[in-house]
Parts: sequence; C-alpha cells; structure tokens
Amino acid sequence: MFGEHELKTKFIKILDRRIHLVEESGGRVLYRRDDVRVIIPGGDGGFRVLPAPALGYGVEFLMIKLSRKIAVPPKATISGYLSAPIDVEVKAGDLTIDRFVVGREKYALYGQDSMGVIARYHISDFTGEEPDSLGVMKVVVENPTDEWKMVEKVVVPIGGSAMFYSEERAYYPLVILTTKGIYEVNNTGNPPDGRLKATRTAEPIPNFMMRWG
Amino acid sequence: MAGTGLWNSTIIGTGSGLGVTVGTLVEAVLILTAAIFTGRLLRRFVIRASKTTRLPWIINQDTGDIIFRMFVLGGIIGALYKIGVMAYSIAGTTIGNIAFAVGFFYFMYLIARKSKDYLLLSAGKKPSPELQIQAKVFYYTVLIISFLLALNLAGIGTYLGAILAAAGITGIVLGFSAQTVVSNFISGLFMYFDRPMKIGDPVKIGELGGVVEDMRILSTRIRSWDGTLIRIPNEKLFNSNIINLQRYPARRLDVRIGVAYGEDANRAVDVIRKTLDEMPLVLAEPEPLVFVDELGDNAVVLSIRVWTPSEKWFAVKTELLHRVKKALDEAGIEIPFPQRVNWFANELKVRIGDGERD
Repeated sequence: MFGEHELKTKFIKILDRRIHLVEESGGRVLYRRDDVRVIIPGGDGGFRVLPAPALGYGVEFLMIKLSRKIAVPPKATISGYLSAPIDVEVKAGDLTIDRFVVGREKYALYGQDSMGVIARYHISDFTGEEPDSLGVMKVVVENPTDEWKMVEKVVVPIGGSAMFYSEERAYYPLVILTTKGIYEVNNTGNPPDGRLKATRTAEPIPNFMMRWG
Repeated sequence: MAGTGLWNSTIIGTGSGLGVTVGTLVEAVLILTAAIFTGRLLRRFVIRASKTTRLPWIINQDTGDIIFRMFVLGGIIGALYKIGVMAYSIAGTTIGNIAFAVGFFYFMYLIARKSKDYLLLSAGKKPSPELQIQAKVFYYTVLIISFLLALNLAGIGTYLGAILAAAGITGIVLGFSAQTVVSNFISGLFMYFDRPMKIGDPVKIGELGGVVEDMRILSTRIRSWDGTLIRIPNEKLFNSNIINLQRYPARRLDVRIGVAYGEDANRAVDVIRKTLDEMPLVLAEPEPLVFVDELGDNAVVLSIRVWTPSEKWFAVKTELLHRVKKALDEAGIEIPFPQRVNWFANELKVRIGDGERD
C-alpha cells in the first residue's frame, strides 16, 4: 500500500478510499481518486503513496484522548502505543498530486474558547502492543516528579512532521510526554522502529506545552 | 591590475557624493549574507535547544525568530553603512542613527510583546485580571522607555523638549485646521494598539460586513461579502461596535428544529446526535448539545448547539441543516408544518344536497 508503485492499471485501497491507476494510450497513466484526475506521463518509478500527518483541513496539532487514563507513578517511565489518524499524500516525483483524509475525520478545540487551538481529534487506548490500525504512534510517558500523575490525553504538534512507514502501516515519530507541572510533549522526529522508511528528513519541531491539561 | 581596477570602479552614484564601488557593493552583500546565515544558524540552534531546555518560555521558536530578524535587520543596516548611505545627515543627525534607533525600538517592541505573552502563559490556564493588568503596564512601560532611548540613539534626544513643545503647538494648529484628519490618524493609532482585528479577518461593523483588506493611517478598507470595497474612516471605526468573526479559534452555531408531537423526542435527539458525530467539522470538544428547548404551538422544538472552527462556521451552517433534515426524514421522524386545531362550542351541521344531517 505505502511506498513506490508501478505506473500500470491497478487499484490501491487505503481503508475507505480507493486510488485507481489507468493506463492510457501514448504510455500515459490516469490517476483517479473520487473527483481528482491527474495525468501522469509513463516512465520509470517516481509514483509514491505515502502517509502524512493528520493535518486534515489545515490544523497543526493532533489530540488523542485516551479511552483509559494512565496513572503514572513517581519517577516512572512507561511506553506504549496509540492508534492515530493519518492523511495520505500521493507524489509523482517530488510533486504532491493529491492529499486526502482516510478513516474517520474529527476535530476538537484544545484549550479555552479564546486562546485554544483546533486539533485533529481521535480516541485511542494506550496499549503495550502495536494496535491493529493504519496509523500508529509510540509514546513514552516520563514522570520526573515525586508525585503520581494522571494522563488523559496527548496533544502532539504534527505540522511539518515527518512520517515513517512499512508497506501496510504508518507511524508517527516517537513522542515523549513529560509530566512536569505543565505536561510537555516532544515530537522527537525519530522513528519508533529503525527498520521503517521515512517520508522525508525529519526537522526539529518545538516542544508543545499542554497548558490546558 | 585589471582586477584591482574593477574592484575600485564606481558603479552607483558616479558624480554624486555616494560613489559606490564594486568592492564596496560586494562587501555589503557579504555582510548581509553573513548576517542572514548567522541568524538562520542561531534560530536553528535555539529551536533545537528548546527541546531540552528547562526554560521553554524563553528558549522557543519565537525567540529564534526574533534573533533571526535581529540579524537580518543588523545585516541590512551594516550593508547600508558599508555603502555609505547611513552617513547622510538629516536634521542634525545621520540616517544611520535613525535606522539604528528604529531597529532598536522594533526589537524592544518584539521583546516587550513576547515578555508580556510569556508572563501571561506562565500563569497557567487562566491568568488573573490583576496579572493581565500588570503585564500590560510592563509592556507599555518598556515601550515608552524604549521610545525615549530610541530618540536618544537617533541623536535627537537633546531636542526632545523642543520637539515636544513644537508638537504641542503643531497639535493645536492641526486640531483647528485638520480636525477630521487628525482624529482619524489618532483613532488609527489607537486601533493599532487595541488590535480588535487584523488584515484578513472577517468582521461585522455596524450594518457592514466583509473581510479586512487593509488598515491605513486614516482609513480601513473592507472587502464586503458581495465583493465591493468599503472605506471606513478610522474615527468612525473606532467608535463602532466591531464584531470579529474569527478572532477566536472556535464559534458556536445555534439551530432550532421542530419535530411533531407524535414523535419520540429522545429518538429524534439520538438521530441528530449521530448526524453531528458524523460531521468532521462539528467539534467533538466542546461537546455538541441537543435538547428539547420548547413545547411550541406546532412542534416540539429541539435546540442544537455545536462548536465549529471559526473559519468553517458558514460551511458547517449550510451543511448541518441539510444533513439533519435528511437524517430525520430517513428515520421517519416528521418535521411538522404549522397547524391549528379548531374546536367549536356547538356541533356543526353539514348540509349535503337538499337534505340536512347532523
């Protein structure tokens, strides 16, 4: 599913969406997805279907609400996985010819009416094993304090983030949540697993302070 | 020799006092390039440092951006110094002094604004009104002191008293001769600091509505919803009620819809809730509200209150009613027409043909 595809007639199914490549005369290939139509001259490679951060209509954050809260003991570090929504980016060479949302799309306001931010919204369980979902996020929760801390949600800055992928699954970079006075989220830009491919070179993303809990 | 000749040959301002040589120009470009490069490097360094720092309020992307801008402006001033533009005299001082003073004031303004923001952010979820006032006092104090220092740096500090006196006299003269213009100008300044809106914001001002296209010294220009240009004098704008439709990230949309008395209101509420859940731009938090609002003359009136991203409010409004109507239709829930039951005190007699029946 993810990665480079040959330019020949075929369907590529990604959850609820279907991409259709149709060979036409003159060695051209027609790319079709819902109402989108792009003609691609045939040739060697360069057609890739890649995962992208779930920016949707143009948000910068992903808020994952935990279906079961986590109680973190003092000085403890817990790591686990969350399911996460993703977008899909289709590229011909370096040019993005299509970008779309797959699966459920939902947004929420993180913070106050007057100062918050709109974030992509998703509910997930925090599991020890990788969930069976298209998008996965590995999260390390660190509690450097001497108190127990409760984690109910993770708000991750994803604008400009790289993604990692295997053929069947997409991964966000490793996320570290530090439960200080104000919880701090670090989108490390590093792959959660060294065997995965990256969509592009990861750039540093400033840490995000979860001011509103 | 030929190279030295080219290096020293004048290419700009031949015959004038400026006389910029190729060498000077190259050096100026190098200064600017070095400043931009160093600024980028430092910005990158600060952003990297923000990931590990214990002082994220200070060491963050904004600080990196300020440092970058500082270097770019410094580079421009340095390059212009090299070319010799900055040595020109104006009103007893040099352009260089004035540029340096403007740059100094600009960065003090940026630092004061960021410091105010950090002061408010460090207070946690909701800063107290006292802290908000303290932050504003701090901000304006830094601005005033910076302005006075900038005047000194510009080399006109010694004339400050004369300037103020002249400004006072000028003010009186202008006050009589150009009252409207000055009023618009002052209102424009107040609007700038008050910041009820910015370019690109959709706004309603009294009866008018549209997108802010430009904010000028004397007037503000609005592109109305139907594509016409509206020029509003700043004085009028300042005295008007301004409704900024996208100042905050989310807006609430209120819709009322009636279902027939014979229908199960709870079922109707469930159908509407499911429809809202399926609409991406209806925010999950704050949670949508659907409830029986009124037992009306003709229908049980349900109220729907949902929050949407501000910039998507109109799109959600146009879609929501359509989808709710469709969902209720599919569930077989009737949205009634207005109707009235007439009751007669006496039994009616109906005449059929020539006969008469009760």
